[in-house]
Amino acid sequence: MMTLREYGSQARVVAGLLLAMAMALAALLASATMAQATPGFQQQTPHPVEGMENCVSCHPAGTGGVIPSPDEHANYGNDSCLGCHPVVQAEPAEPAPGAPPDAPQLPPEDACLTCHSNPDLTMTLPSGEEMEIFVEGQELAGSVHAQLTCTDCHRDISAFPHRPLQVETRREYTLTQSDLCHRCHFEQATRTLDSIHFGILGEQLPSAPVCTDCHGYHDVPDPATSPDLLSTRCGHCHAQVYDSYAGSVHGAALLAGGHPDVPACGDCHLVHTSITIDRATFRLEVPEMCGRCHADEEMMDRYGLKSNVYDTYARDFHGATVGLLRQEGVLEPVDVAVCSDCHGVHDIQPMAGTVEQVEQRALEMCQRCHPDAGENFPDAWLGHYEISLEDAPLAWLVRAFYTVLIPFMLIGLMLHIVVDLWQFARRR
Amino acid sequence: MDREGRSPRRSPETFVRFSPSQRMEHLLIMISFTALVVTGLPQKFFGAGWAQNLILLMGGIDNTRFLHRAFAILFCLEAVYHFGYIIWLAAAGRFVPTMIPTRKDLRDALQSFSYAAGFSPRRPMYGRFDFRQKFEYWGVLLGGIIVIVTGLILWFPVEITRFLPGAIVPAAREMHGGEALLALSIIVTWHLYGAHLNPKHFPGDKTIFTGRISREKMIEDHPLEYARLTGTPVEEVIAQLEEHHQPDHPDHPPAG
Repeated sequence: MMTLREYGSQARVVAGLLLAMAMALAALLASATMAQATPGFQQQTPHPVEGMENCVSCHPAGTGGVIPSPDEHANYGNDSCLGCHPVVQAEPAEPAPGAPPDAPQLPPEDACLTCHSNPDLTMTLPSGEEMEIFVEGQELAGSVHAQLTCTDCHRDISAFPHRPLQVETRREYTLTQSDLCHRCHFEQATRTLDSIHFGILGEQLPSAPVCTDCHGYHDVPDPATSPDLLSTRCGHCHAQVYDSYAGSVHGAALLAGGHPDVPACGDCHLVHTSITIDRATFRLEVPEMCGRCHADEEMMDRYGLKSNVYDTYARDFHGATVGLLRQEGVLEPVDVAVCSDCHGVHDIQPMAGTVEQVEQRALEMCQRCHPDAGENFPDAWLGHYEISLEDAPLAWLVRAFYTVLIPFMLIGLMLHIVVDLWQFARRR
Repeated sequence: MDREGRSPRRSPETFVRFSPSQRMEHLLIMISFTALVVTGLPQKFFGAGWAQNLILLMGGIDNTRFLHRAFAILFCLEAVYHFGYIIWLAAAGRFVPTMIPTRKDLRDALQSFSYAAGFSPRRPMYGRFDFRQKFEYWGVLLGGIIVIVTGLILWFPVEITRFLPGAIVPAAREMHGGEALLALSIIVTWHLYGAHLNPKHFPGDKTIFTGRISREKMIEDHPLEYARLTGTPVEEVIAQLEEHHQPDHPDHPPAG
């Protein structure tokens, strides 16, 4: 059985080898095509533009003119020409011998945006779907990928006219493009292979989310600073759960903003791995999961919450059982109470109300598993309190009694044994 | 506590000290106590590595709890048998309070200590049971009642809290574990020393298993019982004891 980590490292090696082979092949192809000087959008206009700003007056699409532009250019306006065909300096400096030819003056993004900044730009896919191919410059600038160029992701495009797309539908295009994320985000992409979403993707549910469905594509936000945005995207499909979460103590705080500690969807559902919650193991992980925050004293202090809720749970009957079952690695569902059984799952609310109300709620919670429980029963549970003279005096007194008695008894008995042995030794 | 020792005119080589029923009781307690410690102690110290390994070895926590409760039932049955036996003896008028602590036991304890420390020239003279054995018997009896009652509270918390406050459940949990630990501490020090490790009995006193005790040991450890069973005057027994305790006596205690 290969662990995920081993799988990851092996896959990385394979990916590295494939990448190296692809690069070698690309270099070979590049050296072959360089000689042919295939026209591309990086080809420079061989003359200064001043006084000749109306390109199409000389280069009309199709036939005629000094040097006609290709037929495909029919739909492009005059003002987009220079986007793809950068201008050569009026008086170019003498290039050093052997130096590479001047780089295009316009960065490739700008070249692409010359056309793709047109909000009306669409293309028709073989399925008949209209795909918007408009890109808003602002979106790109605000993305975590602002430093990437268009062709880093749109790798099949290297020239104009573009090669025809190899996809039938809009969704197919998303799936194809999303598949490229793993080139940089290998670890995260590999984790998704274990996720419920990946499991149902494909024939079963083509709309199951892939990278770009949650992260976006041109406007990828930083997940660390915008967990609320990503959670909202979970809500696109999981609307009911999202609404319940949005009304909870966690969701309300997250959506109000300014609470970076508050768990978003991915914090509990293991972002990327997003395992199925009906697995017995997920249930047994719940206390650990809640404890990641609720046992963090520094974090809990910020909200005036007790940080011993995990420890007190782990020591009581339920917590001890869950801890041991977790160790055993039981795979069948376990019916011992975990945090979410009493506190709720998505709709977790703060402990509020009068003592009577809280006691009543506690009894109701107990009765869900112990249907015959009477009104004294909730007191049998220490309620996340430590055993102390104030909170559990009877248990504290019993514990104190044995804490004193056992060492005293032991010392007395040992003393007796020592004296008895001494007597034997003396009388030998 | 009945007496099984016969009292012939001529002092026999061995005496019957424990009836088969009493020997069986000891065996039952020995088995159930050991099993309860093995299945219970890791439950008390569930956070420790050794405890978790032991629980895994016993097939997981559910299995461990099942075993613990199964042996608890055995322990309870033995307790019921013991009390029933005493009641039956009492009803038949055959109950002899040999296990009831008396003022003599307190005096014996002090004298034993002062003898061991070298202040007193003579060991105390014990009857059928010495103060150590009485202490242990009452420890098992009272400790047993405590662990049975608190164990039942932990086993049936829903039913118990119908008529008792809920706070007794965590208190019972503390008491069950505390009493068990106390009992174990006493067994591994006092009982292990008293019945096995001390030079007199090493590697172990077999009387509780065979039911028989040699005349020498009887005179040495239970002189008053010997005197009562054989009808020997106490003074004579004392004389025999002192003969054994001569400083130049080759062997102490006298070998059987």
